[in-house]
Amino acid sequence: MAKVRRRVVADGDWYLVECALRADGQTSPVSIFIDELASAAWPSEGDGVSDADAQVSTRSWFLAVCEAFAETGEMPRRDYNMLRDGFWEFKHLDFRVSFYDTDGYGNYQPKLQERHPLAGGGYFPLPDFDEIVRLGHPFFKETPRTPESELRTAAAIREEDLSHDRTVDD
Amino acid sequence: MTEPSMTEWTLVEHEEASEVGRLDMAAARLSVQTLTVLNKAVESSGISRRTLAEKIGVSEGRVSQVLNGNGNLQAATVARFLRAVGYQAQLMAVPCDEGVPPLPSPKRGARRSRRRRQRGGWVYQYNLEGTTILPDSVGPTEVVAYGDVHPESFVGSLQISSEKKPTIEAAIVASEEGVGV
Repeated sequence: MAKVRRRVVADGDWYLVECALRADGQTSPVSIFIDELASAAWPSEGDGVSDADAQVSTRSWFLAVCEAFAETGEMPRRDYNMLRDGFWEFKHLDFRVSFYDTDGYGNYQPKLQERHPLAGGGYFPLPDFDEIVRLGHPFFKETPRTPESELRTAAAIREEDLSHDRTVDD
Repeated sequence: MTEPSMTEWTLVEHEEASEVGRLDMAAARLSVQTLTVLNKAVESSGISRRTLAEKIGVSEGRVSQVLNGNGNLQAATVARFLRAVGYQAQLMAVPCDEGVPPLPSPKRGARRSRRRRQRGGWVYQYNLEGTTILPDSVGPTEVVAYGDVHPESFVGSLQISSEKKPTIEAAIVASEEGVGV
């Protein structure tokens, strides 16, 4: 199989954040999603002003969070959550983007964290991930729990994506 | 192992290739940074959200709204929240376009120090290593700090007036509390 090429979202001191690929080595659900992100924007809080200069676009926010994560290993707590089986998710408005980490050789080691108690429901501290973080797939969350179908999709994409790394090494 | 092509731009770099994208990313970066710093400050202070709400004079719901928001906040909101948990917001502009000069450094207060000499007291200015570089006489209980005066990473200039020479640690604490020593 030919060497695959993944789109890099951000390349920082802590992590390389890139888009996972499906089995065909071409299709990347999250890459398509980022391209299609609507120019939805939040107004500045408080005074009801919604001038263009006071807005932050959804696309820019997502890229900035990925960049901060790549550069510092951190991101605002409200912007991520731990799922299961080594999957985490970026949270933004009502959409989610699954992600996982890998050593780049087709392996992954789930980084499970205990919930840190804190007013407001607590949070999962970010662990030290392996150096490569792959964005799996986007989905919209309409219920408190992540749908099983989305977790299965995330697992399928991870397996397909990692297979490219194993194939190259063979 | 697959390696990323070094000649390919990241999506962030693509975004910044246009004027609109650069401005959008700048707005998003500061919002992300604001939210991160606010939450760190509140957690580090150990102050509960209820106490924080009481100190600022807003509802707990408002505190949650700010701390769980998108960081696109008004400057006064950021300043109030940080100050209420014992921190002070500082704004710094760093050149990022070619040919743009750094902003002029703030004046270091030498002229004002001389004027205050008549009222007695002392001013001590510290350098990057925390040693005194400018003993001078000025009025008491005045603190002026430039740059980051966090005790663990002191950079910049700290000027403080005192009846007797304070330690750098005492001066930093005093500047954070906004009082003299």
